[in-house]
Amino acid sequence: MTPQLLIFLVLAAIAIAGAVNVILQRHPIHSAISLITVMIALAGLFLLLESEFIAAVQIIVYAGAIMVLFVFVIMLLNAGAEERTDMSRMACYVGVPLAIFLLIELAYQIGAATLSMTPQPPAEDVTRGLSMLLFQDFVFPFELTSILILVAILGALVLAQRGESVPAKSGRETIT
Amino acid sequence: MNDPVARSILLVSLVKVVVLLFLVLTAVAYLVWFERKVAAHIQGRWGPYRVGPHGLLQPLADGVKFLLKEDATPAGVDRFLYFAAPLLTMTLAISTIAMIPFGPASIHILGVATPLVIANINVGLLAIFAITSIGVYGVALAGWSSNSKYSLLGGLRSSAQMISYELSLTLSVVGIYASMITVACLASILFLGGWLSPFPQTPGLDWTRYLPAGVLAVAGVALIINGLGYGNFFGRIVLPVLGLILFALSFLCSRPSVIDGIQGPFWFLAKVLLVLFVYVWVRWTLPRFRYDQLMRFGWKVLFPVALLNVVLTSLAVALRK
Repeated sequence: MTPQLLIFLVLAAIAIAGAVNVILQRHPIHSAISLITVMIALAGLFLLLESEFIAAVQIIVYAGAIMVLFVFVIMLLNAGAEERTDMSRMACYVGVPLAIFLLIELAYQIGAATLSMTPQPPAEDVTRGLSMLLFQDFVFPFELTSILILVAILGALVLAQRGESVPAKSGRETIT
Repeated sequence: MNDPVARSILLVSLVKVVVLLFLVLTAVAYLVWFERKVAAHIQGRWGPYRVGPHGLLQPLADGVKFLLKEDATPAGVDRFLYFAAPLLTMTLAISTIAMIPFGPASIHILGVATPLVIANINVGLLAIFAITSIGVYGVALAGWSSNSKYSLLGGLRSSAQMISYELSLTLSVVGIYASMITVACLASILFLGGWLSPFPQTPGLDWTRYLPAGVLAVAGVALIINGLGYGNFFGRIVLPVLGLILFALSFLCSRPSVIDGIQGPFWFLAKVLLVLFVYVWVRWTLPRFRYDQLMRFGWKVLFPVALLNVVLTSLAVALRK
């Protein structure tokens, strides 16, 4: 067994265990932390593929930025542990077989696709190649996505401020 | 793994990790001493003086105290996170040191030429930012897991602060590394501004100050957590230091030493100590930002300026070509 394979197996095990734990945990904070674990394990897998940039960005964007928001919201809402219910009959007889079927299908398709692939020689500079793709070949869709996100942010701001006739006062508080 | 070269590389890395870990942990302890001393002299006091000459053994005494103090676990805390969060804080803060090059040259250990850095990866700086961005969880979760509303608010407040300067900080580096020309002046101010912020949250400050800002007396996160867990938060002192190290590496020209003989690591150390002193100096002579002022400053001033800096530098780079 090569060290690479060993590291892959460990990381994959952590990722899967984390993903399962997201569902099993009853408290939202614990679920969120499991999800962060999954993302860090994925970053490790990217590192194994010699794309350090993607790994770092994976952690900065997903684990560092998006999940922080999740955790903040959970903490501020003071969400408690969820209640367990028995599985509905529909979920039991239709959902479970469908989920298993989907899993088998995915495993088969991905397995077949990987077998037919020939291993590519690693690119000389993955980071450079990626930046070329993003900022030259696909610069228009890339910028369009940014604008989309900007619009979403502005939309959220408008929705949040609706109903407040007086905008929140900024500046120093008056001390009486 | 039977390859002798691979084995010696592994061994050398292990040696480097152990040596550096020892150095960094000692440094963290002595930075608290250093800050208390400088702060005291600025205020016309003596600072730690009882344990050892000039209080030099004070960090040791503090360390022993943290180790031996009873670790009381209050009722109602989230047990796993209550213990994991301080550990996470310490571990993440310290592991960033692995990416710092301590000198340009390689040295020979066990017959292997090895660079003065533990992990030499090509996105070192990004990796540092990645690790520090996870550090937010240590603080936020420590506050949450303590099951006290003051801790929770303190944790949220600290982490919100961290996020609001982290953004401009990361952006400010873009300018420097995009150009490598010294229009980095603007960026450098930003950079320092960004790293000035984490210090108020390290307990080093609230611990030593007699009368901090009333609100901040409840440093939140460290309210419930005690004993060794509390000691772990001192690990975060590494973060501002790390910032200063990065500052020294990025802005204080790294051309060969002016004085012959003082090379590599020592030159590096001198630069870091210099910046560190200025840092403590500024912190104890100028009034401090309240957390909401800091956040407003981060989002409404630093962030736009950082964006502007990125645009201007990339424009300059593009025009140069």
